[in-house]
Amino acid sequence: MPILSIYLGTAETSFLKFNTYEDYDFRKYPYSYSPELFGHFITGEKFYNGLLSEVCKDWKINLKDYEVVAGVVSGCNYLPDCQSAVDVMVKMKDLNWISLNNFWVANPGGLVSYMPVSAETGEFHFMGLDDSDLVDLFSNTSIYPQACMEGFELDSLLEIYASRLEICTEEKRLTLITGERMNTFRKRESESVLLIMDLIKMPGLFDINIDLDNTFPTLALLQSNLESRTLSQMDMKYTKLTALLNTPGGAEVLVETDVGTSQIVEVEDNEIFLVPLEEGAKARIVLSHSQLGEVESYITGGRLGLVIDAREKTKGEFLESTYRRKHQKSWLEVLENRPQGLE
Amino acid sequence: MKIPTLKKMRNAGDVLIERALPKEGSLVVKIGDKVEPFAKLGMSKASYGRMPMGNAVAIAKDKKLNDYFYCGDLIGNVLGKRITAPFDGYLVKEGEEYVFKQEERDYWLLSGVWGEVTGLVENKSVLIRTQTKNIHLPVCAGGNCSGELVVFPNPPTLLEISYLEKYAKETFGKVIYGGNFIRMEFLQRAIELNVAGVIGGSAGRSAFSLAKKEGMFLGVFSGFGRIPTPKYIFNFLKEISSRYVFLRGGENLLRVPIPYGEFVSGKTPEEFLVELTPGLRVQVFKAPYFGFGGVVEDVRGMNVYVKLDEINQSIEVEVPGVFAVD
Repeated sequence: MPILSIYLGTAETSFLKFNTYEDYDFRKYPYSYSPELFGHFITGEKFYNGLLSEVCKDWKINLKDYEVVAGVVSGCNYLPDCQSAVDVMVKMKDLNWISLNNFWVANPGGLVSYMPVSAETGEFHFMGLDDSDLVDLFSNTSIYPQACMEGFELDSLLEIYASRLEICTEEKRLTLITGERMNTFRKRESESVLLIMDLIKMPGLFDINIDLDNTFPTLALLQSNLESRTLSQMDMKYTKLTALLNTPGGAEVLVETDVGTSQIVEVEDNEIFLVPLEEGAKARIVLSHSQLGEVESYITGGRLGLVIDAREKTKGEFLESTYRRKHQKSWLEVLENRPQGLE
Repeated sequence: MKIPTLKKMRNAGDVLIERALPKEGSLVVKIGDKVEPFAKLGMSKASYGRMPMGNAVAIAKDKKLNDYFYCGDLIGNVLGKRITAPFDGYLVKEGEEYVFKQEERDYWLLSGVWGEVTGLVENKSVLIRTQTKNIHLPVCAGGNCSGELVVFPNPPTLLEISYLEKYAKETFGKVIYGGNFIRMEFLQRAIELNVAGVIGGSAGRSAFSLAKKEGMFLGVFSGFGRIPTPKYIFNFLKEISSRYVFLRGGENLLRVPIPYGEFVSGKTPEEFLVELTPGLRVQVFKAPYFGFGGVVEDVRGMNVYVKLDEINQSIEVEVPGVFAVD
């Protein structure tokens, strides 16, 4: 029977219509149910049933012909038989994934959340935040969860909370960055890339892909209802971001592309360096590093080519806001002023 | 595309409101009686005024605890400050604290609503079936309260306290609309003046903490920080200033009784998704225009061009930074 999987996110709702491995489609609706906004005139169940009805009209399908699989992040199960989306996502073990959202971060190791406060809580203690404007901003997100917060503070908080998770313990596997935070990826590309680089701290080589439409949760829900390996059979259009090479303390890296160019790139301690490679272009890299040892590997270029990150990201001061504010501008400049080609 | 609607103001028919005497007394209505806001429902004895004085009171010479004081009489000194009686009453002690309580007078319970008496609790309360316009308060601190609504005309900052003290003749027990933004100083003064509840466009989180601590009702129409009251809500409130209203903290509602005939009771349409098209009235939730209302001028994909009411200029905002308003 065809399957309609629905992900009830904290700030958006996603739908996946699955008929066969060749015939499937996604839709994303950038709103979610907020009891503070809607609770006085409509229940969560009616809200989401209303969205389902609209999506079915859009797709010209009859809901009765589909098996509905729903998943929610936390809190209320607004639809019947709603599963925990994170429990389902954790079972997807054939790739590394990190779900970044406005208020929570998850990966196969678990989930950490700093849910925004509501008027019902008592005294407000929030990471030592005492700026009343920021406090009000975060408080508003409990009423208007789709209001995307921009700026340094949100990403800093995501990083601080994500540090409690073990992220990317395995090199070279496909690493997928997904979640509602990806909604603002294109508008804040350099900041978004820096956030991703900051989250992946351990030394090594990582193949980073981004799920710009947050389709991963719906796929995980679909997978929970299918015996076969959904992801490997479906042509998932994730965006290849970069091959990320973490070399804390600095490194000399030989990069040989498949078009015959060859260059030694020297990256100093605490620097970020971008090596331009066209998307899909293959290259061989060789380096010798104090922590990684002798490394020889083949990579594929992404949107940013190859990024060599020589910052020591596991030290405590890296998480301190004063340290980050001091260096953030220079890090972002590197990402914004990308070189056009290898000489 | 379709966007959700914020139904901030909704008509409600078949609403049951209980009006209760402060103490057991006598009721003068019976089941089936039709009432209007100034109809008398019953009477009891009640002490209107109350002035807590703390526990360090040096009572005036020739006076003692439980004595009667006329308005203007010296009650005593509190930490070196002379305190005179603001009304006729008695100095009593509640626990360790001194309290000056106004002498009991006849208290007539008025209906406050248009409707029909459907139930009675003998000598205590009256249940009235009525109809109301309910205005949503996304954030509230406090339980339930009611009182005469006083609407200040969205004063500029710093003037609202003057309005509170000089233009509201008697604020005791009233519900005050304090403007687009409720400042801490305004809220503090409202607490001191024994206002029943404060409503406004927005307030800081710290104001809610204060309201909760002091047991004062505080409700806002938009959210935290500096967000204006939607213009259509303010226009409605202006029309009903002096009306007796009910604040329901648990339901996040301001209930405004309305006369029969102002709307026809019936099922409110449940459509909450509307097509985003030019001419649609919307509210924007994207800095720096967070909470501003306006009308859609054009829609291009996910980008919406809105002419804002508050500043009479057009801005571009991306979905989901906009909701329809009903």
